[in-house]
Amino acid sequence: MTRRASTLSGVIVAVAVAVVVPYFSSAYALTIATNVLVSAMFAVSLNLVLGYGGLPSLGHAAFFGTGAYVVALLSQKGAVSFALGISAAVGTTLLLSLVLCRILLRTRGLYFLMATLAVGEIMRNVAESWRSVTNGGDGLYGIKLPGWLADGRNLYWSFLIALIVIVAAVAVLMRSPFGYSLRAVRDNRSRTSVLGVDPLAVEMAAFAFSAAIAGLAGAMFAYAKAFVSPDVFSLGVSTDAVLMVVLGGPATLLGPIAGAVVVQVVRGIGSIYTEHWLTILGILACLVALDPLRYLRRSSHMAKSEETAAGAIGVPLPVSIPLATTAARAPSASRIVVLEARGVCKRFDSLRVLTDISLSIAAGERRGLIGPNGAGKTTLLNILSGIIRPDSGRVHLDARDITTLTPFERARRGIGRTFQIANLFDKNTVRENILVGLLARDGQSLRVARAVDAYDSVQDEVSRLLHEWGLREWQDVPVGLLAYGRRRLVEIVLAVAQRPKVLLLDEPAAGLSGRETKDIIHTVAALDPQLSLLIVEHDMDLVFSVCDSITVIANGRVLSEGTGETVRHDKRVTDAYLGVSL
Amino acid sequence: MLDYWTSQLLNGLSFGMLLFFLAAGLTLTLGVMRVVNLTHGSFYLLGAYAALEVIGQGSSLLVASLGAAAAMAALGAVVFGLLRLVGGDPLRQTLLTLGLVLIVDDLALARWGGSPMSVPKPSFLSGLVEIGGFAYPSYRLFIIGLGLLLAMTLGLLQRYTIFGAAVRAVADDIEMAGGIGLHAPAIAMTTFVIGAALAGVSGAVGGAVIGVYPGADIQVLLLALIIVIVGGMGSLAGSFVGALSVGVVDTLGRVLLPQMGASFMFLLMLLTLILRPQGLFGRTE
Repeated sequence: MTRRASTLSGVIVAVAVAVVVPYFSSAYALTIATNVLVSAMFAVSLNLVLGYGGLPSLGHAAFFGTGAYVVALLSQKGAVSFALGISAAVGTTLLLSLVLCRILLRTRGLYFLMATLAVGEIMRNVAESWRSVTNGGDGLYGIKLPGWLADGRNLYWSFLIALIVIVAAVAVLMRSPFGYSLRAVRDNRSRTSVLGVDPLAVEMAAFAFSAAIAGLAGAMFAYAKAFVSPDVFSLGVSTDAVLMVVLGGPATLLGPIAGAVVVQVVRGIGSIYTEHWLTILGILACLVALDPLRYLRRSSHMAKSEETAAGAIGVPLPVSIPLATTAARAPSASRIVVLEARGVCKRFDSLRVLTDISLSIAAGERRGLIGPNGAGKTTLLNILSGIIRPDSGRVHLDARDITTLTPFERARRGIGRTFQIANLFDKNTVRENILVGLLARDGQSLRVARAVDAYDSVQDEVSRLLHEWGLREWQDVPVGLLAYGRRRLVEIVLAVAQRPKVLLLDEPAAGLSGRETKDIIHTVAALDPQLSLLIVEHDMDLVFSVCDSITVIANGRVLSEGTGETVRHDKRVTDAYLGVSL
Repeated sequence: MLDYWTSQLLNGLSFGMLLFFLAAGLTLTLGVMRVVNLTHGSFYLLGAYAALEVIGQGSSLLVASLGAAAAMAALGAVVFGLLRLVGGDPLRQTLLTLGLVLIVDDLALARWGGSPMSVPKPSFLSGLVEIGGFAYPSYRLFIIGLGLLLAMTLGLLQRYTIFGAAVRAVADDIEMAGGIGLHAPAIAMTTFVIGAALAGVSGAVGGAVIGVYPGADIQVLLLALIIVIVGGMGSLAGSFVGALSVGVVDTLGRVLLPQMGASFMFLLMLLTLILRPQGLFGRTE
């Protein structure tokens, strides 16, 4: 609370200073201050994709420049009101981003970086070549402002208000379910999709919102400078913003603004005293990248994380697992198939991984899937959960063909899964992990209006789950700092909380100690008897004590299927495990 | 009329070969090092300026090219060292190389001024040669030959030498390569230095065609990036095919629809991203 109070008072002081700046500054200083606001707006927009979204765009100038050119072109046609100019700029940019994001978001990582860079340069090229409209490299002049805004101070204040409004909107957005989903997608894309969040939709929304703000910043730029040239699309404009965001701190609310202040002030003052302020800016960028201070920080930082983690490491799992659900599991008379694979084949290049695999899991059934390493168990799980597509064969859920559905669509239809290696949002707390899962389950991942704290029923459910699974005292610990066994437990809670019809468990006991394995066996055995399970596992104690039936695969084919007894005495199975060729 | 189109096609090919010079270096650093290296265009620009200096002393283009290669190799080693210090975060790599681009831009402007220059062609390559009944600039043929030679050399090096195998191993899985006893950082550094030297040479050789001016670094970087996107990251064959197709599409596009400028090149890139996001020869990760 005190930290929040001090942040708040800091913000109030900064706003107060920003408000009174025009009273004390020369015309040149006011120009710099206005530049700061334009840059800050642009940096805030970039921070949405680059910081919160983890999408390294090097071409955000495409949107900034579009906003600027829309204002400039409208002004050529005669007097246009300020409001119309701004809305046209934002609207056009938004449309452009909706087209471009479909192409750009197909690429990841370095490709995304290069593709965005190229898009920015394409726009610059268009502005330079399309002389009849843009006047080419000479640019467009004569951008007029209505009377009262022609005064630099009034313009400055209106920009300041716009920035405050946008930052407040971003603050609300980042505390909303959408903000949580966006960071979850950034930290662990595949995990989020298995929870039922459409990662592409989340990224596209963030990209479009960011582009709209960039368009606004561009419009502000055009009004402030009264001149627009193809340089507004240049790589330098995009990279300036990257410098500001990284300098101030990506994925922080106010960092980009601080970065904008530093860069624009260095530029403004530097260009008075030296011709070589670009070199100064370059050195600044190198220093931010190299971050020499980290060598001083490292020792204290490490000590801190160990201190936080001290309580989390090496404490055994609680045995207080929801025993209420250990009700007797009566085998049902009629077998209703829930999840079914029919004749699934998969090859990676010339390697046949799965050949004609058929497998069906009934309601409430607990099926073990075993086989030697390399048998294709995880590949089959990935095909069932939609992470990879089979070459041939179908997958059915509740007698409906789901072969072509994506992981998040399957998750919404009731397929849950865990991963072989604990696969969670490591930087987030246990509570936040479960929260993201529940919001996804309830289809609320894209809600933007309210902060997640306001979703009372979801918060209550998280609290209840934490209590039931004995995780309450760890709720505020980042998952990455938990002991491994406990992380596996969080993983199972996350999957179960989705209320799936079928849960695919990929080696829940892998990497656990004997004691922890016993606890996990206990946990899995105590799961809701209505829930169908498919368990891939090497620990035979777990498989034989939990599963009703077992499927053995080897070399990508079903070798044997039946109860534990049948499988155990099947000679082909022992041969496969002992390496005797079949 | 046929001669006209043949010569335009040859123009496209020679431009493409020049682009291959640029992109081969970049694809090596991207594929092997997995680093964002925005300084590639700066290596080109500084290589061209270095060649101009050497030729100004009365040396030949050959000596100038070697000088540019050596200077850029040394600079490449320095940049590589800095990148190692920065670590694996692509954002920080971007920022570092961007800072270097700004510094190089600014200092080059101070040293060599803002007016466009051109690296002079050697006299025996400045004329026309007659092939099959029509005359064609010999320097452009020289570039086509040089590009083919480079493609063959790099291809053979990569395929048949132990160093080439080591580079492929590091590109495929850097941790595993280290695990089987390859000195991965040294291999990555050598690759990076070769990439920088190639960019330097393309500045010396291509300076006569592309030109030498402030801002050429970004233009060249962009060209190289487009080719790497089209061809696929880390693939030499991809760079070759990508460079030639970009060179031909751009040249013929400018002839057919001059008002479209460089847009054909970008359209080719966007088309690749839509149909095959990993590039023609790239692998999905």
